[in-house]
Amino acid sequence: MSRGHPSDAQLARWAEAGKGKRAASHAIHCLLCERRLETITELAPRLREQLAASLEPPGTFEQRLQERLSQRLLDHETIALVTDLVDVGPETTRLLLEARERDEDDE
Amino acid sequence: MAEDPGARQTTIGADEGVREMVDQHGPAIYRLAVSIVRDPALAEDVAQETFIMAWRHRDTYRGVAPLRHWLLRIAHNVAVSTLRSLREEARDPSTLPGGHAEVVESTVANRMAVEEALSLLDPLSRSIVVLREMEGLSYAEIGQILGVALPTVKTRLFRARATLREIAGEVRS
Ligand SMILES: [Zn+2]
Repeated sequence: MSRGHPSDAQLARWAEAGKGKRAASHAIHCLLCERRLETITELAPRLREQLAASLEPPGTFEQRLQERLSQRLLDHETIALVTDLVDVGPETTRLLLEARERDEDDE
Repeated sequence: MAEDPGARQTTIGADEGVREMVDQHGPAIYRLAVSIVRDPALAEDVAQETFIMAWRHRDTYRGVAPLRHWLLRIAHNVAVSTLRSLREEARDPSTLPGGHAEVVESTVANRMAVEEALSLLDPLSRSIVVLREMEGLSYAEIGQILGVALPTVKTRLFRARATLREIAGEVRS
């Protein structure tokens, strides 16, 4: 390749085996070689589909997440409300709430 | 104690705000999280913490970058911190997630190949691959989200892709 650009083989060897650091440092700062590396290492559509499939959340993910978040926010609001009313810190309030729940369990 | 209508209203408002964020960004957050922690249940925990943190600190979002980028950055931080606290051996293939009983056998084989390839990459390289290949982000955007320099993004991406092609390149149809 002319004007100091590494060859395709050199770029591929660096990407695949980490060999040829000079080619790498050139390519990282050369727009043309960066584009060539994009092409050389491009994932085949089927491989990209498999990658997407392996990262896809389970079908029940969003509903479960929404439910857990709603509960967490509700807990947070309850603690904030009690904190405002009795003017104590959140940790104290949490202890108070837990104590009250335990009292109710005893009844 | 009598219910405070104002407090109830705040809860409903928060609920709707978070619901909308999850609708729009939940799967993207999960994909990044699972690419880092390599466990579906842990990834769901990371997603949950991400949205709770985002909601509680929503005042700090300045609107300069898209909301999704901000959420991805939080998710990345939460996932890395989760990984650190569990001292998970990221390169250990035994940490591969299981539980895909519903998929057919050939899909399992293909997915195993991809997951094997992913397990050979470090968490940062996996994050970069996901943000580039799944989210279609630019190198600069990836660098900003993950807090790493541009040359690092490019180097890790090209080398990670080469690994994926080598290990999982011959997936069966
Ligand atoms: Zn060049």
